[in-house]
Amino acid sequence: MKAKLACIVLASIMILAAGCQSGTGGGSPAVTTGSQPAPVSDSGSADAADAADAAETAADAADADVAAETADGEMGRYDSPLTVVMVNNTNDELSKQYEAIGESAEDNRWTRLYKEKLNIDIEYMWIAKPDAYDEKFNIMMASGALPDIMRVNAVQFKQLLDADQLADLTGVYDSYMDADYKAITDEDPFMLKLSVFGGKLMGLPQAPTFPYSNTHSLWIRSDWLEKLGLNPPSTMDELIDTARKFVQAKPDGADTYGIALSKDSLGNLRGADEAPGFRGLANGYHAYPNTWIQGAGGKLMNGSIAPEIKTVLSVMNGLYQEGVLSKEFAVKDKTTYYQDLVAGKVGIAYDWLGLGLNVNELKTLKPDAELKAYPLPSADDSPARPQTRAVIDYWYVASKNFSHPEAMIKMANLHIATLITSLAAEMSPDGKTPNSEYYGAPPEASSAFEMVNFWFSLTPDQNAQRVYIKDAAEKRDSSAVSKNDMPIYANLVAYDEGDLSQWGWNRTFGGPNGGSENVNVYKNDNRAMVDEYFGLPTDTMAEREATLDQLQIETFTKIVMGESPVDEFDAFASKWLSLGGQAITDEVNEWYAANK
Amino acid sequence: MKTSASRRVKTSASRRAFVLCNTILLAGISVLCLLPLAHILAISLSDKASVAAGYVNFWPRNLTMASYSYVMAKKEFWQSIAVSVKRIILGGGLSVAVTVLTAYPLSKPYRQFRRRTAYVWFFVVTMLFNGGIIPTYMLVRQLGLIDSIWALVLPPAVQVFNIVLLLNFYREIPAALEEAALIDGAGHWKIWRRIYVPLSVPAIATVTLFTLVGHWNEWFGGLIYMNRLENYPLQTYLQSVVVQTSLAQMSTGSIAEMTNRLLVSDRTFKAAQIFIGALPVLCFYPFLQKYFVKGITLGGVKG
Repeated sequence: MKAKLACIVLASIMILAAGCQSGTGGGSPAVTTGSQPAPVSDSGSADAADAADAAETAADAADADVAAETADGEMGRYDSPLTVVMVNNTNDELSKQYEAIGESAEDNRWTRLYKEKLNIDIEYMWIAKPDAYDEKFNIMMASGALPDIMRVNAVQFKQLLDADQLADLTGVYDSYMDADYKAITDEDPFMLKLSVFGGKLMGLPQAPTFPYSNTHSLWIRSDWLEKLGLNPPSTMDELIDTARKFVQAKPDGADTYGIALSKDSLGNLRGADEAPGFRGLANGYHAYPNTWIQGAGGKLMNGSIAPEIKTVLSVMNGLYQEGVLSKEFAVKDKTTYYQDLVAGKVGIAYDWLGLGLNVNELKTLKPDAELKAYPLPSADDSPARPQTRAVIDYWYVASKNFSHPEAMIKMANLHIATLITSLAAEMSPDGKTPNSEYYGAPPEASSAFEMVNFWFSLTPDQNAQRVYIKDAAEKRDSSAVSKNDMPIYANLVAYDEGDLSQWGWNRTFGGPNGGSENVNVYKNDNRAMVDEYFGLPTDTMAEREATLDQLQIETFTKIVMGESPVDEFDAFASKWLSLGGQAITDEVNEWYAANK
Repeated sequence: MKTSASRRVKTSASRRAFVLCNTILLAGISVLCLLPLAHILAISLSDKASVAAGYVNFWPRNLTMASYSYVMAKKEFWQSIAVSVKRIILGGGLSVAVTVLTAYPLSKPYRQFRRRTAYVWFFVVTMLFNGGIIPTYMLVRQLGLIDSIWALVLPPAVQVFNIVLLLNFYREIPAALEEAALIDGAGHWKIWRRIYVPLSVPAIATVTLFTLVGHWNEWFGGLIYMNRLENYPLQTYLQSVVVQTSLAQMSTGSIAEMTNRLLVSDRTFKAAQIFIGALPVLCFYPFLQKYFVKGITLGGVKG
């Protein structure tokens, strides 16, 4: 009897423990709104009193949601402390900088500034590194507990919109938003068009769009050109000829192929995942893959199924057969793609303006090597137009449950004023440097401006515009260089003075034939082919895009490798439409009719 | 004489051929397992530029310890090791204790513990089905475990597989031993402590090893339950450093993001961290491995 009892007791203890593991009895998915009490870490700063204060107010804010009184004015201070819950993305570079200046994500110059000027306490629901960030963000969205203010990309934006989780910012934007920001939105019509849904402003774009910064250039090993006595190619025929000569001559001694391509190049990955290589080449034949272009009857069509692509694929198939494209491109991931460039196995690449940063080690390894950017060559008389997108990468949005959406606008105003406009030139708390430097890019912490992951840029097409730093660096005159751009200026000067490890920066923003310089050639000609569709992903896109991308990449790869005949392209085009492409085209045209 | 004769039989030509083939095959498989590790080691000991150019295979080029000294100087790295050690001690201890205790009553036959089958099923069901990431995450959050070491220790505390393993091991222990102890007046605690535990040391060692290695290698829990970088266990920290940030397009004009572009190509540093992270398991596994075979295959008392 006793034994039996003991057994049961033991077993029931284990049941309790097992309950912890299985976790099925989660209860109702209660949405915790407002502030989640998070410990305010002291982190050994000098401001112990301040930290204690913050901890106290955090506790207050947790139970009293109406703690803060709305004070008027663009940057009006709240009478009683307001706690704003955010999430934070801290990369390695920023962690290093925190260490250098003895601050932390939780307690730094920006959190103190918001406290002092607006009486806002910033709390983080969580802090993560870039790779973990998206994962955590998605889990957070799914579990329903949102921070008050967050930075979202297009996909996250759409998900939160669809779930009706966001605050309408129209009213607070109209009455509080900084005039300079508003002026920029007048200049760049995409900004608000991309952020207004059903007449309501739902998010604040972080920066103006950057179509030209997004274009691709033709990058060539210019030392190879010199070695072989060639001129930079200006037509596709010349380019192909150059590539053939590179293959034959093997200028670096390695087994060489002509034009860089990776396994994802032929696909339709977007934004940060995009694999370079294909679009620049296609643009040379006036084909625009993965872009919405004007089709018949004033309607938009997807460039990937336009007949020009067929021409490009058949040319590429020829190049593949003769070894100008790597026989192994279909198994090269991005790491290998860049590796081949560094190792001197390939000397021509279609890539973004910052390619130099990706292959920075090339110069250390081979001090004679040089990469130069040229405009895309064209197959005929009309110049090639580089395709691009006018998109917003990030918006700041407020949770529907955040009772003070105007606080976000005020924070934005304070940020803009401190770094860019009215307060930028004022003396900072360190008594030596102006605000724009202290809060923007002090020498030992050049990313200070993004400490709380809340920052704005008012420079249109920023990376294209940064070409001005080149002239400043050549003249060794930094007076015109903005504080944020000072690190780039310093790197350019360092390279000029012999520091080869800064070569990537020189190739990106310096000259001659740097990346930024080259996209300005396009810009002066107004030559970009901007994607006509710039809305959020449509419903069918969200559902079918992965399938269609898979279809595209498989078909194109097979055609280029000669496994399928070029005519397979026609079958692909109709298959693409029937697998959801038609529905997407209809949605896009519906949007186009409304947003033209 | 007899033994040497039988030895001669064993080393017949076909036997030798078999042993040779076997050795070659197994050596080949071991080499396949070792090569990736050798590659990582070689990368971690080479200079950045050679690695970026893909020159390094299995032998370091331009030997340097720079990446190791960089890792050693990193506060976050040591912090995460501390968290992992704490996790292993707490999580391993708790999990093994729970396993050893649960398996005992469940190993009793029907006549001693009538609802045994129902309870075993209760456990087994959690092995087959679980709530999924989001509900589990919400539960852990509502229990207030977020950002505490217990979020890594409690949810995986009951390892049903290990319980079943040990349960079967207990069952093989002859009932006569228990009956004799009962007649001598021992209770269940005493029987468990004096008979079952000492006799099942190999099995317990196996279970312990499973648990410890599991805790050491697990990273996803750390990622979703930990909201502060300083609370990341080692594998989560490594995962966040090692997984490639996207290399191609850059979204905004942020200089920090562009600088990251430069850092991403630095694989030597990542390799050094992976290697250091794998080191403890590499060192201890071979020595504990003998228990593995014994613990899983041997049943009951022998010799």
